[in-house]
Amino acid sequence: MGKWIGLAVLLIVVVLGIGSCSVGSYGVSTYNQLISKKTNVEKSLGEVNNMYQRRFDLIPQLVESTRGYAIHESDVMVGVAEARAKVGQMNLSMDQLTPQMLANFQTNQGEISSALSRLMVVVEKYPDLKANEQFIRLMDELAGSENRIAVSRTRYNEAVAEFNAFRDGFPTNLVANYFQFQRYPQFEAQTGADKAPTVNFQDLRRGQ
Amino acid sequence: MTTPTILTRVLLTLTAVIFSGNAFAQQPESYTLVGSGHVNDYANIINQPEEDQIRAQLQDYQEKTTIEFALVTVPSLGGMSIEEFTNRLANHWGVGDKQKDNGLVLLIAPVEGDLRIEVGDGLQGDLTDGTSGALLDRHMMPILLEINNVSTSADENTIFTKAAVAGVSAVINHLGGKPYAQRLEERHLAEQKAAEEARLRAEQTRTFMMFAVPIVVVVAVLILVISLIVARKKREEKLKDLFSKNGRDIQRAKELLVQAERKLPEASGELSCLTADHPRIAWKDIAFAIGQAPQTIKNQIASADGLNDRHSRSNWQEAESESKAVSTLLTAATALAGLAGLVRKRREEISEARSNSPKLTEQYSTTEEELVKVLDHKDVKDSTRELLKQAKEKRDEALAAMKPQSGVNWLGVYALLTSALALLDKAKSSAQANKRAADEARRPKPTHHRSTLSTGTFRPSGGMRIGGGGGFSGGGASRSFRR
Repeated sequence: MGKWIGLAVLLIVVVLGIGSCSVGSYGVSTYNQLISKKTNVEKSLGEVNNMYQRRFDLIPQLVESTRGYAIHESDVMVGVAEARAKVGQMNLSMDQLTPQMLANFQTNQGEISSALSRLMVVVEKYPDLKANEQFIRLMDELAGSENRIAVSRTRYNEAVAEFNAFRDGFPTNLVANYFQFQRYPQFEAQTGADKAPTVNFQDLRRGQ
Repeated sequence: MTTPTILTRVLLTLTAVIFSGNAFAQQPESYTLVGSGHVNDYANIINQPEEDQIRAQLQDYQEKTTIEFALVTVPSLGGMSIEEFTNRLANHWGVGDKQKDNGLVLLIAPVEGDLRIEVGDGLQGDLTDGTSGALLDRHMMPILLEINNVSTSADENTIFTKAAVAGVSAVINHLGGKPYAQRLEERHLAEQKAAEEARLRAEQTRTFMMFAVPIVVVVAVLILVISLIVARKKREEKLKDLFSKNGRDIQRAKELLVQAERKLPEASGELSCLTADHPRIAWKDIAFAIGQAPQTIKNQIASADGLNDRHSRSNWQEAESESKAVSTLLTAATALAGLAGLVRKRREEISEARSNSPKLTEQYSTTEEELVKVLDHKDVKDSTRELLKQAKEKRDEALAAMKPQSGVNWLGVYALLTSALALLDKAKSSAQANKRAADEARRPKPTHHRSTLSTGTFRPSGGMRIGGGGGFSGGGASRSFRR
């Protein structure tokens, strides 16, 4: 009888030992995966910052290239410069990555996009500027910048989606909560007011 | 109208960025590379002989420069902007080398009337967005705008083919000819410069070594020689000191021996007082020494004279061997001179032991009482308890030795009591050690985790094919050619 009790106790001890070992190693590997996915988010965020910065740096050249044309003094150029000044050297960093911060960032950067859109519309009234080789090149660089911004934002959103999905799954979320991994916000497709100009652009394009 | 429709293109990009994310049927990921991947005419708008010509040109170009350049036509952009479509396609196919990201995709969407060149991340220094746009404007747009003046699809295909040939050649001319040769030249120059710098460094090192090594050697030898000389000097001084000390010690030993001879009767007198009151064991060694003393003193005086003789004939170099004999002599002489003192001291010791023994007995019983409590603890080992037993035996022995009315060997009693107390102390510290060890054994041990290893990936290499895994982040330029 005593022998059986001894065996049972031994069995329980062994099972508990194996259990605690496997829980420990599961925690470590989950933590490492969280870190690696977080690093991906960080990298893609850096790319987003770079791309916005690239556009930011292009705008002075754009303004300069219109010097000597009547448009240089117009409201629309002032609008572009003001939108740029408002954004300033705004960079997103990982520790300030809250939904609120990201929304602010997006709103401010969106104002530059709107100002540039208005500029495009107005430029149609200046045929000589449209024929300027340097101006066309800057337009291409600007278009490339917008495109890169879109790509970097998409990649950021993908990285965040992967991180959040992994982080929220069970039992990963226990590890993530223990080590205080937060969810990260995503860029949203913009809504409402910005939609209006699109139609005009389409018309403009067909009318050309 | 000859003005390129660049501005509307940019407008489209801006809006496309804002409203990207359409999910129409024909996704770029559903397209696969055709053959080697250099020409992928899904819209079927490139005529046959030119298609082969372009393929050969692009394969040849890849062989020379490793740049992967893919021409693509698609019947539909699936509702996406051409920017998004091209970027996803290029990344999906992985056009370009994985390390160099040197891929190019020229995409024509005849139905939407869109045209784009997507530039891999590694080529953006050589082909900026502005330059890309300029190449499209100069070499492709003039041809493609003719589309608006023809009506049959055969005519349209001729135009598309001409534009594709012109576009591919324009990009290759811009990138491949001069910049490629230049890049080679620059690399060559950089290598030469690096080699020259390495040669200069090596020469400097050699020159430095030529001077430095002999200087270091000479300095090292000098230091060695100087330290040897200094060590020798020091030793000589030490030996000289020792030599004169030997002389003094011999004289002193002689004086001590004479003194001992004079004091011998006094010592004998003291001894007789000692022998009267105490058992033989307390004084037998001293009595023996005093009995031998006259003869010993004679011998030592003889040896002192001998040493003195030798000392006067030798010099400082033998001081070391001499000093051994001298110190033996001096020790013996000091002992002989102190015989009377020794007897007095023994008497003092005995009386001290006699007066202290009761105190020690008392101290023993209190200590033992404390210790018994300590030893009750379950962590204390039996070997520790054994010590207490030994202490008790010693104490009992001491008590027994105190029993006789006269002739008690107080020194023996004292020694027994002291060692009994020492055993108690030992048992006490041993008990504490036992407890600490038991506590340590009960404390939980830290656990260790196994680290996980990651495995690498590898990609098999191929011939001149598109799809090396190159990355694209949206560089390039787009145009629309339909009105």
